[in-house]
Amino acid sequence: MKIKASRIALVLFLFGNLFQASSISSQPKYPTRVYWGDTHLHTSQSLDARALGDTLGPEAAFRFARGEEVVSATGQRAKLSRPLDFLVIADHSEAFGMMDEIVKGNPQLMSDPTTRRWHDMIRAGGEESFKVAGEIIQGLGLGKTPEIMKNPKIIRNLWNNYLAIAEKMNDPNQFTALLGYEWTSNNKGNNLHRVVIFRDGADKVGKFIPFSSLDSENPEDLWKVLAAYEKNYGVQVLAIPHNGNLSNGRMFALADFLGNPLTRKYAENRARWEPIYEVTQIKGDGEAHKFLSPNDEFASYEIWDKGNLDLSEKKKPEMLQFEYAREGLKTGLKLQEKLGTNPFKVGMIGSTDSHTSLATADEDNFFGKHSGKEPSAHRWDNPVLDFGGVKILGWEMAASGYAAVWSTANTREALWDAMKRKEVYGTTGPRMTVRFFGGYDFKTQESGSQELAMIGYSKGVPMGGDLRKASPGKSPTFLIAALKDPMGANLDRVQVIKGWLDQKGEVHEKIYDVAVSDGRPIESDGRCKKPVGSTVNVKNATYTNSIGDPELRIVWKDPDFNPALKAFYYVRVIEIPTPRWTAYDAKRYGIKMAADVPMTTQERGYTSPIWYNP
Amino acid sequence: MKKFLSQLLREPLVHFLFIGACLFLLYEAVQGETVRRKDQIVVTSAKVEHLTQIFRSIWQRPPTAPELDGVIQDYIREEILYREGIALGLDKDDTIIRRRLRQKVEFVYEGLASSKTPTDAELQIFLDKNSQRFRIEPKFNFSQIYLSPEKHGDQLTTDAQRLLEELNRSNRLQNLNSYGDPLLLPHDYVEASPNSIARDFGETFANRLFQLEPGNWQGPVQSGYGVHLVFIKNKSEATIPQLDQVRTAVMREWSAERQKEASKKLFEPLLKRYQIIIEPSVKATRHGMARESS
Repeated sequence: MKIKASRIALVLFLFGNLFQASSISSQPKYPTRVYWGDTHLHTSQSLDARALGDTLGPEAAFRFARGEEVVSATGQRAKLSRPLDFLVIADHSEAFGMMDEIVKGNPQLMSDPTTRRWHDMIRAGGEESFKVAGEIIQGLGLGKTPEIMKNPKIIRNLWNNYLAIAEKMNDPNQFTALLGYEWTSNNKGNNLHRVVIFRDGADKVGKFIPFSSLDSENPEDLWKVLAAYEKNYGVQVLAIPHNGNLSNGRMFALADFLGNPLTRKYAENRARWEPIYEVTQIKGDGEAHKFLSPNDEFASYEIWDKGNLDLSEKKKPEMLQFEYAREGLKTGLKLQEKLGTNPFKVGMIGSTDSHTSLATADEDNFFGKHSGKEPSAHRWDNPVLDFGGVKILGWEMAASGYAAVWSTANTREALWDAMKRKEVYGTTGPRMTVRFFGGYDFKTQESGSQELAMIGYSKGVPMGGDLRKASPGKSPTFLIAALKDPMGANLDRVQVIKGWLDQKGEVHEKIYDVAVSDGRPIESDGRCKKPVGSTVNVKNATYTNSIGDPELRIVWKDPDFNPALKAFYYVRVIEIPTPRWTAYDAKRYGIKMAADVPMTTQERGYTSPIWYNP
Repeated sequence: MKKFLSQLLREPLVHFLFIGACLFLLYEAVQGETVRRKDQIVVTSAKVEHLTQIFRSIWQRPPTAPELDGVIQDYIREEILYREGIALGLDKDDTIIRRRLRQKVEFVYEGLASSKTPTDAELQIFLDKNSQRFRIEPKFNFSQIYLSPEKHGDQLTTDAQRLLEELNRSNRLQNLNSYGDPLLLPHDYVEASPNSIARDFGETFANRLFQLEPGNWQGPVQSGYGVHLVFIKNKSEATIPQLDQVRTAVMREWSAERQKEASKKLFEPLLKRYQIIIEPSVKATRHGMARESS
């Protein structure tokens, strides 16, 4: 019923547009501007962040995101090149805010020998506090978190303190502080984390304390709690999973948490609560893996595929198909056929998952995964994760990503609504503007129109939407435009990535280069074989925009369309090569890194798909 | 005599002593156990009531008689051991106790600072002092036409010049879609601040707008995408807002500032009361302390 109502609303809204388009309206009916933010930032309120030395609380994090200069935990002056529009401080709900209390020596927490020992170790600093963080992460996975740290009374105080700060920093239409937290299911070290985001303010969200994986590690229990929030407190809420790459085959699995085959109910619940997926962040990019997509020369970008989150189990190739977003989208089509609902019908965003209170994703201004990885001459070859000798080194961090939201306003309500309808995309950091519409009647010359958005909304659906069934003889057309970051690099190419389910129940994917820079040819197989080249000077950490194009636009028609088959289409925008953060570090500190450390990168954006469901 | 008394009553020190005495009496009355003699512990009825309340808040029911007795016995035990501990000086080198006390003192001082609600006069003074921080940015009403370096190549400057002349000749401000090249950004900007212009076009472009005179097409102006011809219809100067326009923001910054000051103010006068002697150390150099944690 709800879905129907929103469909009707959408139709009315599009209909209304056609008549409004000619008159200049100050209150746009469709999004005219994309808003940038981080939906996943940790501060000193997170156990592990605090243990690793992050002393900055939520207020400093908000101020930094708003563009102010702050002093980082390691004493460095930090400022973004330009402000973000919104921020979700998503601190771990497990023992929310407790580590800072332990460090301060809250007497209630000092009565427990484990917390007392951690207090001393963090006070000792350096290696010792790094060990505490390891113990905590492993403790969560093993159910060994000390009881006293679950005390709901202490947590309620800390939670309300955070909410009060977020309320204070929230300036509708200027800067939005969305309320949220991270539920950190980490069973046996397998990452099933979700960021929970509310549409509402502290008046409602302050009526309960966050649900934690210490209560349950089963995502279905989280969804039950989200349903209860809505029912009991009148809030609206969604959850965003991330880091399937560290789930060892569980993020987009065919079985539920308990190992039972997925049911229709599971699919409906997951589709309802988890409309979008965080596809790229510092702990690796999760769009596509070369093992699964051998024909994709851009796959395995900034990949982390050694094991699960605590590296307690090594990666096996057969796990990968259940970890990467593209494969998840394909599996979703299969499951829809089987269960009637697609549980993995996700839009895509990027975010940082920084544990420094600093939402940085720029290569030349990257503050790292956690406070021990803030800029220094040594961060590249020190481990960022280290469990029993299995290590991931600092240079493997990806300076990624941000969430782009096509919202009608910069408010909690409008941003949340846009996330819910999946009108979002993710980038690995650059603030490129990407439009993507699907319909049946886009004309070639319309890509050159100055009224591109108006045409897109009136004749089609935006990213995150559904194409209606094709009438006979019609193939879907897509209106696509990508504009470079005004302070960043030119664009190499725009690609459409299509996945579909054939009559035999097999899934496939195909990559089409639909618009490429510098007049390079696109061959009959839909690919441009000529690389864009590179202007990167690694030694000086510079590049020029003498190659690539600032903007790419196209109306593209699917040449291989079969109206009977379920499919999805999403856009990937690739930048020209630029210096990677490691090159900036090498230049800044005058150091030489090992030969296997990558020094250049091709940053990118991923849009939410448009689906075809005959 | 009368004069002396009234003078005395105005003396801050007397106020201080009087308030101190009142607090002491109040503390006695509330807390209940009067330290009459060093070897005496009086568990007052108020204290028993307090212990009962704590029990109730944990177990959601009143304690039974034996339970209450247990709580009281535990309290007595704690009190005796606490006094013995202090007598033995065990509090002196305990880091937890030291930090807890430090935290309590900071909390009291900073809490005093932040709990105060500012008056309008105080906010106004703060606003006047920090007017640049709260100023309302200048606003531009302008139109822009984009020319793509890719499409025009070597002709870019010539084409831009020709188009500029044409636009100025016809005084063209409507139907701009037929001029220049398409760009995913609007032709017309209304009430745009330099920040939002920089967000769309880059900082260089936004800075250039300040140098352009309103009333005709000008350029070319460089952006992150290529070049633009710009017509500024009008611009407003930056203004210092009235307090009512920015009250929430001023309030937020005022209390943030106060909190910062409070922790400074707490420490600086205290520091002055101590003579600090740092003995030279053989090992610990300042460099050694900056060891990186990984």
